[in-house]
Amino acid sequence: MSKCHIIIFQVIKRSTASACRALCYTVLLTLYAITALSGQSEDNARSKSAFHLKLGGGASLQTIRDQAMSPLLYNGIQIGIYAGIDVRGVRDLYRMDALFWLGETSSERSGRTSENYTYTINSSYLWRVSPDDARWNWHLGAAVTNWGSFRNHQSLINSNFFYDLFFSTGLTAATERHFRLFRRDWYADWQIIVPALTYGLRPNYSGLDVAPPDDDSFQGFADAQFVSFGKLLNVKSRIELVYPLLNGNRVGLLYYWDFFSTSIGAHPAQQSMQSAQLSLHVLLSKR
Amino acid sequence: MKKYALLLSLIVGFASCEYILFEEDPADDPISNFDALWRAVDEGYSFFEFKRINWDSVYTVYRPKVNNNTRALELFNTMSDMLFTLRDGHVNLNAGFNRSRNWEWFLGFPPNYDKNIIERNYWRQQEWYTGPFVHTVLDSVGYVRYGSFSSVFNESHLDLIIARFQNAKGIIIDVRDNGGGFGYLVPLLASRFADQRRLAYTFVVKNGPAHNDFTTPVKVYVEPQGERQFTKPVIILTNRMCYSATNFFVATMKNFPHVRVIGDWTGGGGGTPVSKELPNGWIVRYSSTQSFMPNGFNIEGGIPPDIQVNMTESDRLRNKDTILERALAELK
Repeated sequence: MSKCHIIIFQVIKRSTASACRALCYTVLLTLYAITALSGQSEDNARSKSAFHLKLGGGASLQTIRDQAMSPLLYNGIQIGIYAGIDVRGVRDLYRMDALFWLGETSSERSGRTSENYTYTINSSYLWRVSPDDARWNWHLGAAVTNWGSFRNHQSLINSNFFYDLFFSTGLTAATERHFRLFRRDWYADWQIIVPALTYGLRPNYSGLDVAPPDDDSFQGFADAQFVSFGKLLNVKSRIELVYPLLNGNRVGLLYYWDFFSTSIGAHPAQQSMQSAQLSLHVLLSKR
Repeated sequence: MKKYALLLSLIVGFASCEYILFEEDPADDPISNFDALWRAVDEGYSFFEFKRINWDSVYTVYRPKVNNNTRALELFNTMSDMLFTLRDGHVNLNAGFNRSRNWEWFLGFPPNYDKNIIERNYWRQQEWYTGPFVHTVLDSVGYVRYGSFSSVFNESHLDLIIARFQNAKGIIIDVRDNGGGFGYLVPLLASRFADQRRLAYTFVVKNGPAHNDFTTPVKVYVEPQGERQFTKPVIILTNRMCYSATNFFVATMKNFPHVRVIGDWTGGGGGTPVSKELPNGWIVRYSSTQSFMPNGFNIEGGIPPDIQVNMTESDRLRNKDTILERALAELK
């Protein structure tokens, strides 16, 4: 394992504790905001256009089988932070979600662990295709996504660094609906993204992640290629329950599920992330 | 309300069902683990052709010794015996309760190093300890002992040593019994003795399952780096326990015209090892590269010295290190 990797993972280990503290503060702040539950405005109809900035945090369950790393299934809890924007127009919606998770996974059979850090950035542009008075507002559109998952399995010397890096474009669909529950206004929002064309990067055949003499800049070790459904099946699903607050701000509970199965490179991999994120949506502008 | 509860249940249930999308963990019986080990090595090991090993024949010899009633210790011993045929110090099976190894690359040869003789007869408590280096002056010659490439040093350590010996007639670098360690330290050390940019060695990496599937050769260069270099005569002392990173160090240094190697062949270890986990959680380590000196010499089997010298018993009884004495004589 190179010096660079050692330094990165030492920083991540030390920052885990501070990340936990940051997550706690975020959750507390969000809960404080939620205490204004009685403070919903009387008119919670969606604005004609609005720009919300979303910040939050949560946890996830990550499940991995990366044949380059091990034939065994690894899973574990990750902590995460979430940031995003919603730019909503009369008939369109631009949404960007950025999630970052940090944690460990382990194999039930071998007991070994892998340090993981994962991020995803999904940008979608959706156009409303349902009529104005429909109960369910359907949207269709296109998405650009970036997924990166990095694992350090310290028991596997010289071949301990594994990764999946995908840059994708694809199709997206979403539906949302307003409903009343407990005499309050709520919105439920479900979006699904299916990448169609991906530039993917996976570890090389041998798994060797250090080139003598530990030349981290050596590029010949990664297997990178353009792929589609034949080599990468990826589904991203986000379900969000939104509670409007005063002044157009909102609280959201997001359930994000990301699954892929790929045969990019010499070793197939499957991974899923089930994440729950609590966030505060701050209204920056509206019309 | 019921429909919202149903919807929530569907969402939770859908999420829980994702495990049907994952394949099951592979079978954990002795035969499956044996086959997984054999296959991992078959598809990833880099020296079958160089060492003329018929890995299929090895399978037919050892596979009958394993059945589904084979206990863990028996399975470990059979797998270890199979891996022993690779004659490679970079091949190990780690089962937690034991780790297999092949140390024939040094056990069958004279040790050619006695730390007591060096410490009592040559250092005599006049040595300096700078990071992992031990150094002293012997007959106007600098002597530097570096015991392991697992011991990390930095530029300031090298600056001090080079500065201390800048007026010496030469430097002896004693890497006997240095079994290797971090590869990135090799060019860091060698660059302090570089007279100019030179090709150190080339290497190829396994990139496919066939025994001759390798990348195109990658060239590794060494060039002068750091505050100052020492380009007067340098002698490196080696024995059969010089392995892995030390082997690469000797291969690199032999390209400099002012460097000679005295002692015994190095033990070898020219393949950078990788590790794989087996279905039962054991870990196998094996070489995945091959490395060659600029003249095409494969360093897996070791590097010959410029002057072959073994320690003699008569010298040992007189507390003399034959190899070190020869190096001092060469630098007079």
